[in-house]
Amino acid sequence: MHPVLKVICASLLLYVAVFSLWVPMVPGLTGTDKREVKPGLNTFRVYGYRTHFSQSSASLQAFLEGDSVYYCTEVQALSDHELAVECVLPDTLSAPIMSVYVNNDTDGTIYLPLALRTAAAAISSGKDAGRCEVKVKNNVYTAFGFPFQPVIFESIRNLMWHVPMWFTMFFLMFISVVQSVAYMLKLQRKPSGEALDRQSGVTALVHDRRAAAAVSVGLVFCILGLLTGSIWARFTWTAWWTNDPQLNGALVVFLLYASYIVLRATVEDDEKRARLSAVYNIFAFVMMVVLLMVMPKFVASLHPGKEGTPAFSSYDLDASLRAVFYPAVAAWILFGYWLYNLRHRISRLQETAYEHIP
Amino acid sequence: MNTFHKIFALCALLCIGIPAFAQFEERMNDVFYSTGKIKVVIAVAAVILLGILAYVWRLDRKVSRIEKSLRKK
Amino acid sequence: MTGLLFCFICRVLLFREIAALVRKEFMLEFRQRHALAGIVIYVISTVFVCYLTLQRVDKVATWGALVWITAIFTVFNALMRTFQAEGQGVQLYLYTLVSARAVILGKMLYNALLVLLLNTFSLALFLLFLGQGITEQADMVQFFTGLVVGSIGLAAMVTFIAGLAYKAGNSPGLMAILGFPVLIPLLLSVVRFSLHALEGLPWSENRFQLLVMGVLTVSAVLLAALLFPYLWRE
Repeated sequence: MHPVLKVICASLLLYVAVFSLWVPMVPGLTGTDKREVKPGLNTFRVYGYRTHFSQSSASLQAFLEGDSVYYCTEVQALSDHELAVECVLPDTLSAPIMSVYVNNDTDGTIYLPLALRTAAAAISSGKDAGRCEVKVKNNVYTAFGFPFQPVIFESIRNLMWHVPMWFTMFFLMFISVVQSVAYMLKLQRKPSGEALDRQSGVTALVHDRRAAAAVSVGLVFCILGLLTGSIWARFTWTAWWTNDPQLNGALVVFLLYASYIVLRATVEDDEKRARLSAVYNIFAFVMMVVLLMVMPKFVASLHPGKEGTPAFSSYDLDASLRAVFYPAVAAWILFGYWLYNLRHRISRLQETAYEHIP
Repeated sequence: MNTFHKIFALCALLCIGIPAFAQFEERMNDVFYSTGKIKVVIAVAAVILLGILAYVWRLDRKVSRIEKSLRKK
Repeated sequence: MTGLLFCFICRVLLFREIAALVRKEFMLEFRQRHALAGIVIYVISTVFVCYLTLQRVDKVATWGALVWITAIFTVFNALMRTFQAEGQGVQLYLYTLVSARAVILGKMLYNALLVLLLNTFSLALFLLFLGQGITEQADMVQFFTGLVVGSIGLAAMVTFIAGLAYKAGNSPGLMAILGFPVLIPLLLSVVRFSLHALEGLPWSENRFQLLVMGVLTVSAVLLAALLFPYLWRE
């Protein structure tokens, strides 16, 4: 590995470690003290995160949005992070669930999607009985920061830690399958049936060594991805393990490559081991691609980018996340490549040191 | 690099981390630290760091074994 | 150009060699009837134990799971000896006679037929013993289609893995270790398909699973045809 690449890798990792933790979150709403609204007068509290309710109390507005928008008549800032809100709603409401919006000059317009249920008795299938015709100011917050997502909150920073693990694993497994194919092609070069002569057989084993090294480093990233994903899932989806196609797929990938290691351990002869494990590796890679890239696309998943993910869709578009996420992926891929490089050099040394080859 | 050096290096690494943690104390003491979920990020980053360290440790052991067998020759 | 293409297709598909090999497999199986009888007894006793312990199954998911668990273990048991049965001498003889591709494709074809037969038999037994709670709403034609496609896919993949495990010293544990992770994508889609069929969902909602099963089976066959020559050489 070229020293320049190492320097790039180190500085990118530093950049990612600093910025993924240091960039502030944009203000957001975390919740309300009540879960339900009814016709007539409603009073409830709204809680904010990194908001400035008292500081800019002069410009405070709040409103509820179902099928129509309802302006809140009384909005009082109890602190920077707490609001007392009064809102009068008409007798019949058509939306079964409502979102809360809060608006001021410092924080811009922030909202809590699907926060309040409408009392069952008040829901009608027709139009709403009335609505407040108040012009709502719509501030757009322009400060640099990570977007505030409901439920996820600060843990959106995990995007720069957890996700690159999978990219790196995939990259390493790709290197491994390329090396296995290269090994096969070396074998192919001789007319079929005739075995390679000793010298070229030994040189072809370079590719086998590289393939094995890539898988063993890839497995480390796979385990880290599983562990970190499990921790993140515990605090956003409330369980250490959820029945999610991507999660199950990741575990299967772990099993797939763990059995690659087992296969290598059972065969004694170098040349035979190289041949068998290359065959299995190519087969495993195709299954992994189907499992991780094709199947989850068509099944409801909690992961972003698919159906069934309500609050996650604005993710890929956000400039602040991209500014850290892309470098993070590059940094970890470079780092994975570096480890792979070390690993296969060590196994080359092992062979000379333990006298496999005269 | 013997075991003592390794432990020393680990401690040094942790010390570098302390100022960063101190900065976080502020935010963690924030009223909403329980809803902020910053702890999750720290746990995830720590797991990754420890995992990589464990792997490097293993590589180190492999290299020492090679050195030993070369010395015997 | 078309003549060349025709020659190429005939050469690649190896019709005559495969037909001869399938016939050989049938003969071999016929001579070793006791092995097949063993598997049939295994299927019967599995289903009977399920019946004795559960008496009646009303939940669709449980029923589907039982059928597929039985199917997987039947496949593994039946195909474990697919390379062992013929012995080293015969294999050396085959090696000089036909191409490796023909060997694996012939074995896959024969094993697909065998597995299909065994799985149909076990499905019939399940319907006989545990069919009461399930059959009212279920679309059994659809379920059987899933069983057919799934059996072919399972047979193809397990045949290939059996070849790999055989060359790696053929410990039965190794075949399970290598086989299960590889099978899981296929199993996921086939189980989902069968459950939808048992719930009586229309074909249109289930088409995608069938497509995934088909793609996985075809890719397994192609990969096996491509990679098996490397396993076969010695």
